[in-house]
Amino acid sequence: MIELKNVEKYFGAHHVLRDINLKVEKGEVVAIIGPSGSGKSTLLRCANYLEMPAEGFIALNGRTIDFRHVTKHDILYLTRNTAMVFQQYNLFKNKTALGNVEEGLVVVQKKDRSVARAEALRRLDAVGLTDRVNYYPRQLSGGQQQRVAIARALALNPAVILFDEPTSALDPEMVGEVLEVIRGVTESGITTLIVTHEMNFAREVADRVVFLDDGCIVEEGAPVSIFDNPRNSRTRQFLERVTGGGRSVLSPPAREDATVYERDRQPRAWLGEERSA
Amino acid sequence: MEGKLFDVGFMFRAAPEILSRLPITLSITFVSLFFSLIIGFITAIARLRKIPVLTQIFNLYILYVRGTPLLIQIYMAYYGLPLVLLAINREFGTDMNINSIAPIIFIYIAYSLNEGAYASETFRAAIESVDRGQAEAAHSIGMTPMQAMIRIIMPEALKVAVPNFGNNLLGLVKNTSLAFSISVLDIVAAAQVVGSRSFRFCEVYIVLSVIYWVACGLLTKVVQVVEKSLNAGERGIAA
Repeated sequence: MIELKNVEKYFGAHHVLRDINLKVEKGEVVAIIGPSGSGKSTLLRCANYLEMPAEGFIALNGRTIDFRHVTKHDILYLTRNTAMVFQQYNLFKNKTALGNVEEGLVVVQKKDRSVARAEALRRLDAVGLTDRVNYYPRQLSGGQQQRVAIARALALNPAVILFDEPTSALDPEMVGEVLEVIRGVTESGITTLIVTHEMNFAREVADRVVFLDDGCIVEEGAPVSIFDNPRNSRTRQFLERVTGGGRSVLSPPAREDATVYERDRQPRAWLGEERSA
Repeated sequence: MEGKLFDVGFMFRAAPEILSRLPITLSITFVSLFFSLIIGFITAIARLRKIPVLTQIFNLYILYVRGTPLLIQIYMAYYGLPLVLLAINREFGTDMNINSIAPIIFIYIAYSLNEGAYASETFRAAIESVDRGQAEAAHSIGMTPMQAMIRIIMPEALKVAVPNFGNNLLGLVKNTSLAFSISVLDIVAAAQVVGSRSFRFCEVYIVLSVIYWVACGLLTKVVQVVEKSLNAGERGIAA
C-alpha cells in the first residue's frame, strides 16, 4: 500500500532519519510515537514530499519512487494520493471553511463547482460544522479549524491520510472533539498514519504502533505489546516519562530548536526550489 | 514702475498651459507602473526560486538601481541604449534609426526598470511574509507550485504588498519630474517654459506643487480603496 524503504534524511549535519523502513497495509492505522526531535514529523512529511529525503524509496499503490531522482510528476502523484492534517491546521486564511474544502476539488481534481460544493458541504457536515461553512478560519476555534482541515483532507479521497500531531496545538478542552473526528476517520477503513503524543488515543485506534528515537525505528508492534510490554529499554524509558514518570515529554530538548531552524533552511519543494548538490 | 513681487492671478492663467501636459506625466506613471509590476513579479519569483544565473543577474540589477540616482539611470538609458542599437546595426547589418526614437520611450524604459527593482523587493518581501504553512497546505492537497502561487500565496501576499505599492506609486509620480532632463515635455517642462517666458518661477512651481499634491492625494485614496476591497472578504461573516 504505502511503503518507505531505506529513507535517509539530513537537516544540515544533523542526521534526522536513519534507514527508515516502514510498510503500511491498506486500511491499516499506524501510530508513530517518540520523543520530540526524534524525526516523527519529518518521517510523515517525507511521505508527501514536504521534506526531500536524501535517499530511499517510497512505494504507493504499486508505483515506486526513488527519492534521489524525483520528477514533478512523482511529487504530484504523492501529493494527490495522500492528504495531510497539520499541527497548526494551515487552513487557507482568505477562504471560508467551505472554500477550503472546495479548493482542492475544483483546482486539483477539476470537479464542477456545483459538484465540489455538494461534496464539500457533505464533508463539513460529517465533521459537525454545517453551521460554520461560511466562516473564515480566524472566526473559528482551534478545534473547529482542525475539523475543517480534516474535512479538506478527506474530501480529496486520498489513499492515505497523514496526521501530524493533530491535537498538539489545541487548547485542552478541544482535544476531545478532534480526537472523536479522527477516530471516525480511522474506523472508516482509510489507511492512516498518525504522529501523536496522545498515548491513550494511539493505543485505542492504532493497529500498529511505531516507536521512533533519534531517527531510527526502535520498536514496532501491536499497541498492546508496545505499551504493556516494550522490549527495548529506550521505548520503556520514553513510555515511563510520558505516562507516569512525572516530567512531561512535551517540553522538548534543546536540540529541537536547532532542528526546526535547520528545517527552515531546507529547499522548499512546493516553491519549486531545487535541492542543492 | 515696479511690478508685483508675487502675482496670484498669474498662477491661474499659467495653470491651463501646465495642465495640458498632465497626460504625459500620467502616461509615464502608468506605463512604468504596468511594466514595473511585470518586471518586479518575474524577478521576485526568479530570486525566490533561486534560479541560477538569473538570480545573480537580477540581484546585480536591483543593486544597481537602488545604488544609483534615478537621474543617472535616465541618462544611461538615453545615451547608453542608442549605443547598443548602433552596435547591433553594425554587427547584424540592421538599419535601426536611433534618431526616430522619441525621448519618452527612454523615459518609459528607465522608469520601468527603476520602479521594477523596487517592486521586486516589495513582491519578494510580501511573498516571504506569507505563512509557510499556507504553501505547505497547498502542496499537500496536490497543487502544482504554480497553482499554489496563483491561488493561495499571491492573494495573501497582495494584501501585504498593496500598501507598499501605494508608497512606491507616490514615489513614482513625484519622480516623473525628472523626465524633463532629456527634454520630455511633461508638466515640469511646461512650467519651465512658462516660467522663463514670464520670469514668474515661484508662481509656476507653486502650480506644479499643487498639481503633484492633488495627484498624490487622489492616488492615495485609490490605494486605500483597493486595500479595503482586498481585506473585505475576511471581515464579518459571509451570509
